[in-house]
Amino acid sequence: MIEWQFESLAALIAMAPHGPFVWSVYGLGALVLGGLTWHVRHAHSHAITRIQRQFEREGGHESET
Amino acid sequence: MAWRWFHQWGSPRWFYERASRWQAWAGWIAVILLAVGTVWGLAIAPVDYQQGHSYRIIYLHVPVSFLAQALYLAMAIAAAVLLVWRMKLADVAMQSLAIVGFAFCVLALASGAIWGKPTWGTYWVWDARLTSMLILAFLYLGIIGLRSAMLDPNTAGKACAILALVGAINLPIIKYSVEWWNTLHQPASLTLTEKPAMPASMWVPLLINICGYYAAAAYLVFASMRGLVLHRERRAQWVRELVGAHD
Repeated sequence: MIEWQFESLAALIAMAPHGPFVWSVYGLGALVLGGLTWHVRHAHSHAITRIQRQFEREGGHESET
Repeated sequence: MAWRWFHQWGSPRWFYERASRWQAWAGWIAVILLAVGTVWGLAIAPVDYQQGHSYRIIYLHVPVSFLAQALYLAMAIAAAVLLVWRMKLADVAMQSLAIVGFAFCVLALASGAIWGKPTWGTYWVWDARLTSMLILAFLYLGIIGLRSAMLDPNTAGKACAILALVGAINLPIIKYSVEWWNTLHQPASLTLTEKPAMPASMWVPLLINICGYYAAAAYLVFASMRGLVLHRERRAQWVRELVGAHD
């Protein structure tokens, strides 16, 4: 049986008197994990785009010669 | 035959294809475990009679602190593999582990500092555990900086591997700092050998989040390594075929 520790959403957010400390840590955590996820996914798709452009350039050079 | 599994890691293509599946599994496991563990820790776990609600920071701080050290250990093992067997994938692993490990180390330091204010009355003290964790962050930063400062990737890889191995001496110092010196920092909340001091309603969500953050780290490292493998192998035929299939 789940027993919630807070009577309302406002009480959960306040976590009196430690809400600002607890939520700033979890906000920072979400920011770091979200930022890292974006970074690694972007790096992967960027690598594919760069290689595709490189092949297109090489293909262009081959057709010119 | 016994070494076949090890030699497979020498093939970037073998890794790239399999890591795609590992990455997906790790990502979904991380999302599920972190959702359950974090909601449980923040809203369902009982309040601590001494620290009040501020102790709920433990559900992020402990997992990321474990990981900051575990990822450095993994990086040191990859460094040894690179120096002994000259495996290209070990160098890629080092690069990815350094970035993810540094981010987790900064998060461990920041969450610890924020937790310190309501608990100790200060954000920072120069005690053994905090200082050795700060040194770990500088070691990560040094390895990232060293690689970007060197033009030749092979020389950069070897230099980073040596620095990673030398820096591994800091890991036992971090682990035993709370026993060797007087420190404000509490001893380990969870160990493999002893029964936890806190009740199950508190340590079960912590264990779930530890597993969740490990899965998240695995997702991030695999995803990062796949991008780096593609870049390094950009002239290989299999990459040409793979990128062609993306059109």
